[in-house]
Amino acid sequence: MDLLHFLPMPALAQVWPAVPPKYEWLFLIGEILSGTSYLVVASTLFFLALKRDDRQRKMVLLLFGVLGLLGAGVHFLNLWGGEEWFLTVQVLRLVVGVASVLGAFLLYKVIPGLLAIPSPKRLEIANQELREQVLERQRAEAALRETQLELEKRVQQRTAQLITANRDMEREMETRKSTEKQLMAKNYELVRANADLDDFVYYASRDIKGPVLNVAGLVAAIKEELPTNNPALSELFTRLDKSVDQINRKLNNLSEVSRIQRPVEQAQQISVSFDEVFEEVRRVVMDRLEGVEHTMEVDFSAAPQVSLSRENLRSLLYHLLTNAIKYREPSRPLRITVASDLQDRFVRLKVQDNGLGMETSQYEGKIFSLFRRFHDHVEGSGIGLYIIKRIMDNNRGKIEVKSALGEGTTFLLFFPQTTSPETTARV
Amino acid sequence: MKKLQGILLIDDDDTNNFLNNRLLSRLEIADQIREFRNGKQAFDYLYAISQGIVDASSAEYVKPSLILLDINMPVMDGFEFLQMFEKLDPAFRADIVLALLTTSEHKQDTERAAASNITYLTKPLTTEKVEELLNQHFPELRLK
Repeated sequence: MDLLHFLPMPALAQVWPAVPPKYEWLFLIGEILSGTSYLVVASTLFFLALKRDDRQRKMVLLLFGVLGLLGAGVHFLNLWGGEEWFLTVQVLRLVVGVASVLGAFLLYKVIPGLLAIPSPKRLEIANQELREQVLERQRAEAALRETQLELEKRVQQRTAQLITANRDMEREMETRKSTEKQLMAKNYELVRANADLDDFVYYASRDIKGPVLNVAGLVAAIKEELPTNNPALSELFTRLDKSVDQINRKLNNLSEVSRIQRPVEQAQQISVSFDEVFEEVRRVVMDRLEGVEHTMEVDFSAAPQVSLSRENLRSLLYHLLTNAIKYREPSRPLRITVASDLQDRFVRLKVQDNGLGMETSQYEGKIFSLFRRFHDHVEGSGIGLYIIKRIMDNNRGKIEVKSALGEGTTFLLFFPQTTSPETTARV
Repeated sequence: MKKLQGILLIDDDDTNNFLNNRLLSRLEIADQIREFRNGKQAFDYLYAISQGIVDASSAEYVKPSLILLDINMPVMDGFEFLQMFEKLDPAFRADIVLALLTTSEHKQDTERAAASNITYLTKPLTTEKVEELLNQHFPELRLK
């Protein structure tokens, strides 16, 4: 027992009930072990509080640490001091008691929080679920990446195809452009050649006309100077007059060809009335119908107007009518039908006769040639159909001929219509 | 019978001038007929007499009452002649009648003539055309 005497032993007397001296060692060992374990628990709790990163848990751990420390203090104080320490030790015990009550109260307060702390098993299950979810997500992401890659590959392929197609198209367009350019150049050349030809025809006919008129005048003058009673001379003069007349007429026709196509006159296109112009032309050709049994049916009610220069329409109707009269079938009364109507985007003019007709297949492509003639029994210059064709060409129109030998001929002239309110309403 | 003092024929075509001269001479409507081969020759002449450079009593002096003018001529054509003619002394020009006589039936020419308010005749010149011209501009004159 001497072993215990390094402590101020009279303290034992303060414990109630007093410890019987023969069990003092038991009491001492108990107190020391309790105090030490309290100390160990307290320091462990402090250590944990130090490591915790959430404030609330830290405070609770700290509080229990302090309680442990106080507990250890009480146990050790049981071993400490004599009579003079009595009050101190009891006060300390009181403080520890109060602090414990406080701690118990706080513990009671944090019960819901402590209950909320999930058990490791639940955590494990939750973790497992989370892991599975993560795995699932990773799989989905991988699948997505694969799809994305596939898509990108496809996009690249398509882009490549598109680029190739584009390049092909560009090349195609380039070719077309150059072809178009060539065409335009050729077209321009053609237009120029045509204009040159028109100019040539115009100036040639004009310049030849003077001398021809002179010849006619000189012939007339010679006739005046010569005696009139020579039948041989009269015969010669008749032939000479006829020849000069022919030249003159051809020249007039030629200058008509060139004059009608002058671009200056193309600008003067307005809507002209079929009825009006036809009346004019009918009056002009009237004398050619003298003594000819004939009927003429005229009906422009379906399309009373056409967008064309007046002079061009006059020329067209004149040549179509004179053609029908010239090439009539003498064994039957002449019947001419003239009518207009609307066909798609065109105004169609129809001039039909029951005359000699011609074998169109035989002359295909030559009908509208200059100086081309199909009958030799009547006077003709071979210029009328050419003029008709040129006028239609110049006005972007087209012309069709239906003819049967011995039955008659039908000319169909198609004029493109500019979009006037009247025609759009009808279409 | 009253006659025109003079007629000028302006045409580069000699034969045409000859024929017209012949026709007009036979119609006996003018004291004098002069021919010129182009507008410039005719204009130079007209300028000279309008300025009094040519003596009025000389045989060279012909004050025209009527001028028949071709359009297409070398050196100075009909329309150029008309422009120059407009610049002559108005008093001198006052009693001169101008008429175009041409083979051209080109709209451009006929329109230009109409704009200048000038008579437009197409060749050949005939008695009927002369008669019409006289009726229009010299009603006091009658053909025989």
